[in-house]
Amino acid sequence: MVSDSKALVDKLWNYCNILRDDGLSYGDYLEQLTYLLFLKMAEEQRQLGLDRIVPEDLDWPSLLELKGEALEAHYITILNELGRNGDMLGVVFRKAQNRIQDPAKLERLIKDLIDGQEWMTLGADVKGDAYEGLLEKNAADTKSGAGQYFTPRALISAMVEVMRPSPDMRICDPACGTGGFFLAAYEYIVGHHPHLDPDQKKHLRSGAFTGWEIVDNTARLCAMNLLLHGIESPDSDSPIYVDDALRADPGERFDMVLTNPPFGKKSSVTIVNAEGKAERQSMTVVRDDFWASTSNKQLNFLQHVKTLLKVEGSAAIVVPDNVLFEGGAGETIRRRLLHECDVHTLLRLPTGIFYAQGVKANVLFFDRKPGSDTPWTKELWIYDLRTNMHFTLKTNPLSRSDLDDFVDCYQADDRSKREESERFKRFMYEELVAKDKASLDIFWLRDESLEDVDNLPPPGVIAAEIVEDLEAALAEFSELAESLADVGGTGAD
Amino acid sequence: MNDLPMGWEWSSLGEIGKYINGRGFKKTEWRESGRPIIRIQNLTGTSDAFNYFQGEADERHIVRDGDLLVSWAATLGVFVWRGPEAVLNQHIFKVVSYVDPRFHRHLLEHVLGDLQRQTHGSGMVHITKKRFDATPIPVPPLNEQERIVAAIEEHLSVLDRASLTTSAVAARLPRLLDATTRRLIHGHGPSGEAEFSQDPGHPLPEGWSWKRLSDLGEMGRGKSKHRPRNDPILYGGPYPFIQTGDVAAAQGVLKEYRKTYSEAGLAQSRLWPAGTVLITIAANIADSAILGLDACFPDSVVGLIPDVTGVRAEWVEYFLRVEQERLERFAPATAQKNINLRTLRAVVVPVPPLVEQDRILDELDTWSTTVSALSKSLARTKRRAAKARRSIVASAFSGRLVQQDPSDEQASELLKHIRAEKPVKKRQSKTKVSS
Repeated sequence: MVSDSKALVDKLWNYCNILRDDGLSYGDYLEQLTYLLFLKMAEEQRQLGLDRIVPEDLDWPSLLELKGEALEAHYITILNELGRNGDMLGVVFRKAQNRIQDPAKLERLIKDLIDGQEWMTLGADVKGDAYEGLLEKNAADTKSGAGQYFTPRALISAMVEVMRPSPDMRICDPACGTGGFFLAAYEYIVGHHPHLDPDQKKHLRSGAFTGWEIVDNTARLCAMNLLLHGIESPDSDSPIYVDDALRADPGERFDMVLTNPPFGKKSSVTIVNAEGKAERQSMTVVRDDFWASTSNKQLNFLQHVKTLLKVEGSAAIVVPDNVLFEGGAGETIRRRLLHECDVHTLLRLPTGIFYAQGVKANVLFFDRKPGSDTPWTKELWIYDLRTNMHFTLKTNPLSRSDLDDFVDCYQADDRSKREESERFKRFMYEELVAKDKASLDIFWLRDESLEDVDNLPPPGVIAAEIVEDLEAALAEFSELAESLADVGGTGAD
Repeated sequence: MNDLPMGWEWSSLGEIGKYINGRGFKKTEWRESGRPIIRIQNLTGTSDAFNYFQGEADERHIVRDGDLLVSWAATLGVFVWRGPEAVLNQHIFKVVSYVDPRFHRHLLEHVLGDLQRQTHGSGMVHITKKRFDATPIPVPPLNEQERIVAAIEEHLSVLDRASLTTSAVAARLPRLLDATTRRLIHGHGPSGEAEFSQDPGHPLPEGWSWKRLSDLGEMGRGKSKHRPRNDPILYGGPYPFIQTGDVAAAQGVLKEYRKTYSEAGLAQSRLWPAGTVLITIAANIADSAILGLDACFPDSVVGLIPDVTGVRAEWVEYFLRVEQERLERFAPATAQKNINLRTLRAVVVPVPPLVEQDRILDELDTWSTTVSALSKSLARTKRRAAKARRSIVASAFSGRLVQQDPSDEQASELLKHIRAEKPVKKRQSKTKVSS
């Protein structure tokens, strides 16, 4: 019996290494684990006297009776059958496939590793943290590529801390990934409101969180992550929509949006035209509720988040630098956002904290407001956590304490108490809109590694900065190359 | 004239806007306060200092925040005035636009870029109003103008950012090389495995020692006894004569020189052997190089013939290079800076065993080769980015950047309106450029 989450992660993780020899990636393993854990927990729930969720001939005990190829065949049948539901069952099993090639190893996974543990009786934090631990390990595995969209948990925690979600709110993440923001918000609410009434408890367990995730695999990890943390139950209607959030205005409105939309800017598809040639088409999103039509996914997410908010609702959204400086649609959207919402805080994030390379990102905090002729943004406070900061994923990762000063400066209690400091500066609305293209890409700190003559930083630091810059430049040039790929002609000279 | 995309029309700069020249302000009209007078240097950023005008100005010469300006003499350029109400000096047009002003701005930049390149090399660029007005330009439908502006600004903002980031790398590269060289020369190399022992300055790895510069070989100032120094009989012979400027220009090994000594020149001087380390002690302080040939030099240069059993010339030269700033501080800040030989002789140099010197010198060579290769590819990137910029704009004005929409009102309609309304002269307010 394993009771501590670290030991549980290690145990599960060790088994993964055995399967890796058969060519199974971390991500694939995590996925299989999700299916099996779900079946096991459903069975435990049934034994506790609750309703049966999984049909008898497709349930956990039906797996335990078999071995070898018969076991494998039955497992595949279960995966195929269970994905046809609209509840959590459906989200977990949607388009599920078996990736464990060796039936003997599958049997060991089922009988030794998972059946030997009572999962429902584990504290929510133990099993939840164990699973979250696996997700984080998976994200750190560069080969799986899964970390691309994984938001550093320290950042999520700080964002939630200043946003202060409360028990009666409806909270949304339109690009929810594995549900990191939901869990952090849940923990914050439970931690700060020890005496929740039964309605609040019920709301928090079902209805408080709504998410969209476009990738099946990620959505199932999210559903399982919530489940293991005691949010939602295996038979509840899934609060996770497996869909492209940008497709349309869902009509629902939320008190709070916390999100880190996927990086990578343009939406485009390659289609084969009538002459049989591949042709790329940019997916410009045209929506009545948007201020500007653009194929820039990041700008569209920003507009989408604004739509999702109730009047007086608040949002914290991770956006790459291009959202701050890009002209054209970007300028239109920034001007409208500053006018129609109270855009009060911008956190400039350091480089080297995301798994996606060359990303320079920020967190934009704003509140939706009712219609008005005068602009709602009066002043934007910018916190620079980037200049002269050096983080790496492995050797010097961003920790929660690195964000303490930002959290203090933010003054979530009463933003009028904010004071300027070296890293925290106030910019008035008039200053912002007077900038070329209303760019919010604003710096004021001296880059020590570039300017300080007397104090030469270690070569390693300079080299790392060069790598960051080159990666960023490469990302920007690639972006440009892609968006200009279809512009023909000979151009200038 | 080339074929134009559907719905476009040929027109001229003069037709889509009015270009009002500034007024020739006399120096006697300059004041310390009042409305700033916008001169070309204020626009190009070569000067922030404004002169002011206190008199009554004609409305035609008044410029307000957001107005579009074109400098047409010396520097061809398009600018958006950002600032208080000001008055316009001559050689700059204020633009009154009859089309989408932001489109107008990009079009002007594009057209002026072409004009600039055509007149390249002819010294002062000066474009007459007549030629300016007659410059042919393509005009797309009004709706398409908007789409073009949005697309240009979107692409150029990404491109500009990417170029800026590339420049940041270019700025960091020399610092990377400096920092690496400094660490390697001072013994705290990237490996960090060396055992350090205590010595003056900072601890050195085992087997290294501090040596005075004068202990590293024969050291002395160059010689030029004959007076006057510029006596023609001294020059024009077979012996290379090195001056401080040559040392500064050399990167590492010095092979280029501008003057030679004659036999008479050599007779009152000394021929130093190739491999001598050169250090300047006057004019430019502590520039260094290694002689790539036998040569003479004057007493503003110190020579060090390294004892090859103890130190490589390259080692000393790298040390001098990374410590140049520190050495310069020894020089008293008089009008003609110089550093005396005694100070220089006492400078201590960290010296590892020869084998270690060779290893580190190899490593430094690798570093500088890598950095220089990267610098070159960055320079290429910058040139390509500049071309891409022009190409994006050129595509825009040939109708290839955005798609045509048959439902747009054709440009011919727009031009009809302009031609009809132009005499009315009531479009002053349209000069505002929102950006």
